[in-house]
Amino acid sequence: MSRNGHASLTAHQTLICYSRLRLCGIIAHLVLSCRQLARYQRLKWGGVTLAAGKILEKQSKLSAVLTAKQDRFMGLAQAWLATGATTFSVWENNELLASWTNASPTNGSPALASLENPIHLREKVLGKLRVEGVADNQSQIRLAAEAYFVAELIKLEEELEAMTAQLVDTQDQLLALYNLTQTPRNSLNLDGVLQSLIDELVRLTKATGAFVTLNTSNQPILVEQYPRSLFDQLFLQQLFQRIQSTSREILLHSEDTLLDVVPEDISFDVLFARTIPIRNRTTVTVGLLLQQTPSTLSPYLKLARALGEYSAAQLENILLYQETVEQAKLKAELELASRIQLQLLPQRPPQVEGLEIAARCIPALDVGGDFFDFIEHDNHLFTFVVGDVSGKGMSAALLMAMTRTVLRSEAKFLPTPTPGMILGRSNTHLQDDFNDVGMFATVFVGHFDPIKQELMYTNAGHSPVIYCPAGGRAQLLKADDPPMGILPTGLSQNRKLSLNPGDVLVVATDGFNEARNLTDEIFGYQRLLQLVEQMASKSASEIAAVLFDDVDRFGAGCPQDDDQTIVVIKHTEY
Amino acid sequence: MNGIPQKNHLRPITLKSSIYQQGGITILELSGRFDAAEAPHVRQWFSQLNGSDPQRVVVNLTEVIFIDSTALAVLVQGLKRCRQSQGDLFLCGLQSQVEIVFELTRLDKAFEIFNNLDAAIAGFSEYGSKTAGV
Repeated sequence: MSRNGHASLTAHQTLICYSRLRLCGIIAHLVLSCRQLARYQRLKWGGVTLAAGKILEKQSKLSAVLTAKQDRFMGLAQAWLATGATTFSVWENNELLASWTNASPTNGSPALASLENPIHLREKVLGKLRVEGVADNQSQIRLAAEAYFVAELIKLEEELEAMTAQLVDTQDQLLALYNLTQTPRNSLNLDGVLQSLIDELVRLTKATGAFVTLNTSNQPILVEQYPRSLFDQLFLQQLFQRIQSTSREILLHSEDTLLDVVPEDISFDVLFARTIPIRNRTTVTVGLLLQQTPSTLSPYLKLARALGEYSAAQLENILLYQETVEQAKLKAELELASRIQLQLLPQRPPQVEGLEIAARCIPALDVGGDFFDFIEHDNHLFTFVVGDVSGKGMSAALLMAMTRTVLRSEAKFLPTPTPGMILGRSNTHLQDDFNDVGMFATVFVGHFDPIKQELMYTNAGHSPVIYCPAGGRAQLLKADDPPMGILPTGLSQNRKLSLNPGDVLVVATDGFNEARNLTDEIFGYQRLLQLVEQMASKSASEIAAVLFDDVDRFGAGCPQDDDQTIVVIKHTEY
Repeated sequence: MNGIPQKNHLRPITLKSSIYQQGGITILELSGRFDAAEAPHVRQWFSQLNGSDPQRVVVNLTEVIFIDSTALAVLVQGLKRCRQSQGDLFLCGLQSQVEIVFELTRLDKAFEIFNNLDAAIAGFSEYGSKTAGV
């Protein structure tokens, strides 16, 4: 077709392609073949644009060598012309490619004598060399030798070309590999990585179609394909079943009925697919449509396997990275929540006449459910609350914030609040919420009357609460009601405790008595009671500090499992 | 799925559990230390109870030598779950160490606690005849 196109060029156009050189008395007509011009698609030549589109054909080997080694041919021509020949020319398919003519033709009469010798390469005739003006036997031998030389030159050019092509291929593969390794750095979203994996897989393996899928439990959850809608979900599922039944890899030939769905315009010989497990039940499947004969297939399969493994590793990295980012985000949020939670707690205890108050909360690593609160009333009355919501994490923290708020508003806005009323009403308010999430809160509410020197309190499941009268034994105060959120009772019992000078009340949370040491022993109530008794003569803040220190020393080397909260109330001596 | 890090292997006695059915009552027998390290297993067991049928569960604590707040929380969750299904959760055989914890936190008010397994099962048959009569 294009050959015809070439052949049908007008004489005029062919002439345009001539370059006429006058050099050392030799006129050289080089037909810069139109085929060669075709390399430059649209080339302006003497103001005429050659529409090269129709004659796009690979430059013939002979004309390529002629162009590349012009001066060598020129040398041959010069030697012929110097030894009596009138013209030296190179032909291809009876078409003149180049000719060198003596500038002063002898007598102007055309020389009839001429010699020709074909240029053979692997039993094919590529063209011929022709000299005019000589016809002797020696010249024939010489011309034959030169034709052989030209053929060798073409052969070398061919080899060079093949090597260059291989080099370019290798370069391209290296570049593709480089791109592949760089991809995750540039884009850390899975879609982007899958897309670039596909691009590079196709480039490296010369696949005519490809897919990469990310699967959980053998179901593709993320699919990237080339071309975009190569296969549907159903096909992939069927293919995965086939892969599973074989092992991890499958090689299907184009005749396989499963592959009937491949669009007709995609030519291929085999479908290669490999599933690579990455973690848990997550796998990556890489599939390639390869157009390779059995003899050339093997290296491509090796490459495909290696790339499959590599792709899986990359995707695993991305997943891990994403998880890490998620975890970091979550951790940051938890830290923020934990800070907010700490800020909900009173920053310093109030000044209450006749009382020394110390309070502190050391949260465990997670946000937890411990809290304490102080509410001062106008008539010198003073309410304090210590609570612990069961469980840990955000759910406990949210319930803790709610519980604290409800208790606080009941304590503040009831006309004559008693601990029992505060707790009972709060329990009624929160009952549904606690029930829904299956959690509860232990709460101690104390209410101090400085005039009566009396502590009224209610204890909903809270422990440990330690009372140590001045000079007496420390004792645990048992709860009177189960924790908030368990029973829908509206009223809790009030207890009274006369708080005399020197008396100490320690309301802590289970983070103290359940603190563990390396041998998995717990701190327990007894140690707490002893400590309080020993320290009872000290100030409230000293008692609190020693309790924290001792428990901390006890659990040295163990992570703090639970929040530790303490409120120490001491009636000061006058 | 044990979320608690390595210290478990130092534990002298860990929780053992066995579960069996007797006359429509599920009996969960625990022994050893019932604490934060073991509570998740029990929580998981409670969470798979079928919510549509009334769940009657006896947790036999006769062999439990220690119980902590996390374990209490799991029992409370179990209690709520059983009551939501119109069933109940009874406890039995509390050792004094365990009993103290229930008393301190007043959770003995929230749970029906029996001296031994037979009493707990009998408690359910009474309970059953009561509800059946309604």
